[in-house]
Formats: sequence, structure tokens, C-alpha cells
Amino acid sequence: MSELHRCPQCQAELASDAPEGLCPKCLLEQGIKVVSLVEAASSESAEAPARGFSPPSAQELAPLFPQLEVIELLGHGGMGAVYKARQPRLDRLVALKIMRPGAAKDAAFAERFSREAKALARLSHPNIVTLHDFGQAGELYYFVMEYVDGASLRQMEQSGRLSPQQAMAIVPQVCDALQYAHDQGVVHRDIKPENILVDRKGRVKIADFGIAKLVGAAAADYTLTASQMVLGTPRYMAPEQIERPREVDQRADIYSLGVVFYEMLTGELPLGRFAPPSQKVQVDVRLDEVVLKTLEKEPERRYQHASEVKTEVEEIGRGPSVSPRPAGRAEPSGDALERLILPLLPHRKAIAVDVYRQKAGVSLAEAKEAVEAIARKHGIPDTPARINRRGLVVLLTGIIVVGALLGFAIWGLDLSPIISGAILWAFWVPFLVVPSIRIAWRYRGTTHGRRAALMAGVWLFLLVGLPVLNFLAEPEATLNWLYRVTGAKPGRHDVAFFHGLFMLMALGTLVWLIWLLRKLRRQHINQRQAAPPPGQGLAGPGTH
Amino acid sequence: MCGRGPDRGFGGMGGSHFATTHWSLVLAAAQQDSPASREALATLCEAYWYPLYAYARRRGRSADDAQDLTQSFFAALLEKHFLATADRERGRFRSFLLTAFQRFLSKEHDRAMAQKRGGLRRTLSLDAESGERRYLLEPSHDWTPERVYERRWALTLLERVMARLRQHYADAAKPQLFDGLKVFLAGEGGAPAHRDVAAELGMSEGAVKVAVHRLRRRYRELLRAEVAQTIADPSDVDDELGVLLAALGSREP
Repeated sequence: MSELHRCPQCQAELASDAPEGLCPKCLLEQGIKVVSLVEAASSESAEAPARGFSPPSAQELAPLFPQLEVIELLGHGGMGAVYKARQPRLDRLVALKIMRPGAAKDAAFAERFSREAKALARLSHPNIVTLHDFGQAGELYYFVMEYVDGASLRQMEQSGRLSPQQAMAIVPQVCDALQYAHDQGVVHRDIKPENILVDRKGRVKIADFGIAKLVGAAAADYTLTASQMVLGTPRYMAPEQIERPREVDQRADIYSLGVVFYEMLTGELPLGRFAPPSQKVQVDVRLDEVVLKTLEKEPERRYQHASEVKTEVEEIGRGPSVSPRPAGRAEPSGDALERLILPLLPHRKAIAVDVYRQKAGVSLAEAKEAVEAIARKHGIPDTPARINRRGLVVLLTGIIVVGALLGFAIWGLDLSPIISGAILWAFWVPFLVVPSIRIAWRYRGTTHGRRAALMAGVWLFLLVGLPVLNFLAEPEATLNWLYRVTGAKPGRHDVAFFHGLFMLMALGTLVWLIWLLRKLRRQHINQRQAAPPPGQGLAGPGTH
Repeated sequence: MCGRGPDRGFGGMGGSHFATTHWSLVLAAAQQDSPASREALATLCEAYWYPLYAYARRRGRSADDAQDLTQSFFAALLEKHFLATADRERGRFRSFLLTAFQRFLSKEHDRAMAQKRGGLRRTLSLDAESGERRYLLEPSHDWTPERVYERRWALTLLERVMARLRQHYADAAKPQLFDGLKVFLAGEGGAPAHRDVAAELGMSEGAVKVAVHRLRRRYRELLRAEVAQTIADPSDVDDELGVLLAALGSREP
């Protein structure tokens, strides 16, 4: 083994194949560093790159934190570095965040640091990364925080694993965290995808609350705008955060949330004149309003509270999706729809609301309002929406009774099969089949209409089935009548033919009934799914 | 975890007007092959084959195996352009190469053996012998193969940059200037005083300072250019440099 040289600068071991005999680490560091400030100011990007801050390794850090087991470096940025660590006594994983050395060296900073950190430690919320401890180890300022086993939104976006549905599930949790913090008087000031973490269970955790304000201009990511040093990441900052940083309140967080939301949905930043999200991706049109309102330049025109944003987003997520309606689809206009609704009021309001919702393609709440408006317009009293089961039971009982009477007349009183069949037809067709078919047609495309079709199907099935039964019971009599009427010659094939014909008709009706039932059942399930329970988690984000 | 490096919005391929770097050329030609893109890919492969070799060795293959695998992998890569399969890694040649190689290893284990005897058309000149010699010099920590690969990648890149730098000064007929001043490239920490170097080179102290500044600037340019060749979006250069630095820096297992 060759003798070990050491780099005079960083004391690292120097392998014998080091490039030109120089320490590769120092070489690379020097290559990254900005050579002069002039170069920096004239370079195209306005952001200051990580200025040669190479974070210490986990082993190098360990002696400074005897009460922790520093496991590995997780990441680093302009502000400092984050490590995965363990508290052996509590047997839990934590995240250790250290500030760049030289971040601040005056006593005033130390005092401010302590005060701010205490305020942050008081934030206790399931969607906020908890601050466990903070302090100074040697020259380093550090935080000990909750360890989040998951990925940041930035990582999820970059690996392409963020769908609009997931975005809609993430935003309400972020709003929860923001509202809680705002209520405690803490403004985040640096909401961006890097600071929004999602753990493996789909829970959202916001990190670095208030740290932008705490750490000060020296160490936070900053940008040189008009020779001023401003805190935060420019693309996500509210306009007032750039122009009047001292007058910033919780509405700046709402703006940043809007930028993040837009980016999650469309994959782009809302810069200059940007298109509303529904024009870029397949999302609900109503989201446009919400996103645009959060991105208002004037804080007064934005949502004033994060909870408002949450309510709107959850509302949109609950109802069936409203996509911009393609032109040319003839939906019933106001009047025709009213005429459909009116006969159902007041006793079958639930059905009316359903019909309205399915015909007009609006949410449940809107349909309910509209139906109530129609009722009011026509002076119909408002009854609580209940499915009118009683009426159905009465109807069914009546039919069964009458049917039983007729059956007795046919078999008990021994009327001929043809006569009995004719009587049944005469009874059923006008009273049951025709109205059912009429309703099924008028209310086509709605559950109500399909149910009517089902009823019609049942009656028709019975109508066809009974003659079949008749025929099976008394084939001779029926056939004789048929021969007499049609003048055909009797023979075995005739029997089979008619037998088959009747069977086919019965079968056909049965198949149609089954299809109708399945369709109804599917519709029923869809309605259930359109209103999921709130707070549903995401499909797991996976490793990062 | 949070705040890794200055954020830059979305990584990924730039538009067609960035197609001057090797890797972006290769990526842009994923659908239509062109001689220029094949050459670009060949250049890249010839430059960065050693990290893959080191990776294969660290994965437990013998020297012969690793040599064959690396050879046949590159041959297959040049033939078939595995680009369609690696969409996530397209931004960086470094990560693309590793992923493609890992896939290749898992599929081609037996085939590689047969190809060795089948007279594989060698389109690359890989100096496998020197590769093995270098590999034996690798520090024997218990690092993962991926770690070894990344570290080797960074070192290979630096070597190339230094070679180009040296060539630059040789072309200007000042090779001794490079030798004398190169020690300043690693920073002020271990460098001698400007005065002493000036005396050695027979220049004034002021001239030395200026020469050092020029050297550093040229070095930085070449470094960034070299990194840019292996990525598609030039704005990712800083990020890639950060990754390489991390690959060199940490000493954890």
C-alpha cells in the first residue's frame, strides 16, 4: 500500500492516483465556488448558488452531539444541512438541521434565535414538523426536528408521481397547518415544494416554519433584487413580500400556497400571464377560481384565511367533477328540466334532486338548491327530502292483490287460457306498463328513469311469462286456438316452434331486466363513491 | 430531506437549442439516429467507462468478468441505444449509465459469457488492463458499488478536466507554467506563497497572481463544460457539481 499523503487544506487522505496530485475534493470545491462577486452579479441567474459550503460528514458531526447518534447526511442547501439522527434514550429517529457556520455571530442573533425557536417549538400540529430541540453546539446553530420518512413535494414532482387528485388531497392538509400556525401568530414566509413533505402514510408535513425569518439574511436563500436582500425563494414569494417585506402577514403564505398548487397541477410556475389550470391539464374547472384567487397580487383580494381555501378545495373534490362542457351536447334547458321536476314534488323531492343533478350535471348541493328554487317558484311546500317508500309499498300490495284475484279467476273459475291472458293484458298494459315506459323515456339518463324502465321490464316479463306458463300448463288448448286463428296444420314441429318462440321472448325480457338491474346497481355505487369521507390519504409516495 | 440546493423548478431536458452538449445530442437523437449523436455517445462512453468497470468489480465480478461485461454493455449501448428505457435518468448521463448498466447486469449475466467467445465487435478502446490496475488502488472501505461508481465518476471527470487544462497550456507552449501553478487550483489552504512561486518561475509576484487567476478561470470553464457534456439541461450544472462533491466528500460506509 502506498504511503498516505494528506491534503494540506482539508486533511483528507490523498490517493496516489489523485488528479495531478491534487486533492479532488478541494479541487471540485474550488471549481464550484464563485470566483468574484462581480462575476456573481453579472451571471444570469439571480440566485446565489451554494457557496462552497460542503457539509461535514455524519462522523465529523457526531462529537458535537453526544446525545445523538448521527446517521447520515440527508441533504443540504444554502442555509445549512440536514442529517438523519437517532435519540438513543428515546429510541426515535430525528432530523438534525445545522446552520452554515458563520451564519450569524452576534449576541443579538443568539437572543433572537432563542426567542423564535421557542415560538416554533410551541407549534404542535399533525401537519407541521415538530421542533424538539434547538441550540448551539460549538459554532453551529442547530435544530432537532421530527424525522419525516418520505419525500418532499419537489422530489415527487420531479419523479412525476403527482396527480391532480393527489394535489387535491395534499392542499387541504397544508391549509390546516397554515391556519393553525397563523392562529398562533406564526407566518411561514417560505412555503415551497421543498418545504412540504409527504410521509409514507400520505400525511403532509410542513417543515422550516418561521426559519426564514429566524435565521436572517446571512444564511437563508436570498436573492439580490434591486440591491436589496430579501428573504425567501423568489418564485414562491408574494409580491408584497418582495416589495414591503416588513408588512407581510399570513396572506403571503396563501399566495405561496397558490404557486405551489398551480405547480402541482400543471407542472409549471404561474409567471407573467399564465393560463388557468383547467386549460393545461384535466382538472375541475372550479379549481381555476380558487387558484387564481390565491394568486391575486393584492393581499386584500386573496383568501384571507387558509381555512377558506381548504373548504373550497374540499367542496370541489367532493362533488362529481365538472369539466368544461363540450359544445353540442343537448342538455334540457331550464323550462324542460322544470317540467320534469315538478311532477316529482313535493313528495319525491329526493328523486327530483337526483334527476336534476343527473340531467344538469351539477353537484348535489347545487341540484338541491335548484330544486328548492323551483318548488318555491311554483308555491309547492318544501318537505324534507325522503325517499317515499310508503307509496311504493302501497302500489306493490295493490298489484299483488289484484293479480291474485285475477289468477283465481283464471285457474279457480277455470276460464280459458286465452281469455285469462287477454284479461291480464287488458289490466296490466294501461295501468302499469305504459306509464312505466313513459316515465322511463321522459327521465332517460337518470336513476329515476332507469328504475321506471326496470318496472316496465318486470311487468313485460310477467306479461310474456304468464302466457308461457299457460302454454306449458295447457299446450293443447293454446295450440288449438292458434291453429284455428292462423289456419295452420298441426304437427310436432309447430309445437316446438311455438314453444321456442315463447321461451325466447321470456328469455329476452329476462336478459333485459338483468342488464337494467346491473346498470342501476352501478349507478348506486357511483353515487356512493362521489362523496368519499373527508381526510382520505394518498396512495403512498414511495421512496425518494 | 428539505431544501436540497438552490431550487430550479423542473429538471429535465432543455429545448432543441441546447443540443450542443454530447448528452443532449444523444437524447435528442433518441428517435432519429444520426452519426453525430452516435459519435457523441461513443465519446461519452470512452471517457467514462472506468467508473462502470469499478462498479462491476465492486459488485463482486472478477476482473475478466468485469472487463467483458463493460465491453459488451457499451457495444450493446451503442448498437441499441437503451434510451427508451431510462426516462427518469435522462437528465444526467451519469445516472443513466449506471441504471442501464445495472439492468444490463441483471439480464446479461449468461449472455456475456457466450459473447466473449463469439468475437464481439469492439467499437470502443477500453484499456482493461490499466483498469484493473487502477481498481486495485481503490481505497478498500466497505462502500457500496454505487458509492464507488459515483466517486470514480467524479474523479474521472476531474482527470479529464485536468488533462484538458494541461493540454491548453501545452498548446500555448507554457507547460511549466501549468506545473508551477496547478497547486493553486485546490485553494489557498495548501498553496505556497505567491512570492516563492514567482521566484521559481522567474516571474514577478503580480504576474503570478494574474496567471493564477487566469488558470482558475480557465479551470472553472473547463470543469463546467465537461459536466455540461453529460447532462441535458445546462442549468443543472450546479446541481450535478453538488452531487459530485457529495460523492467525493462523505466517508461514511
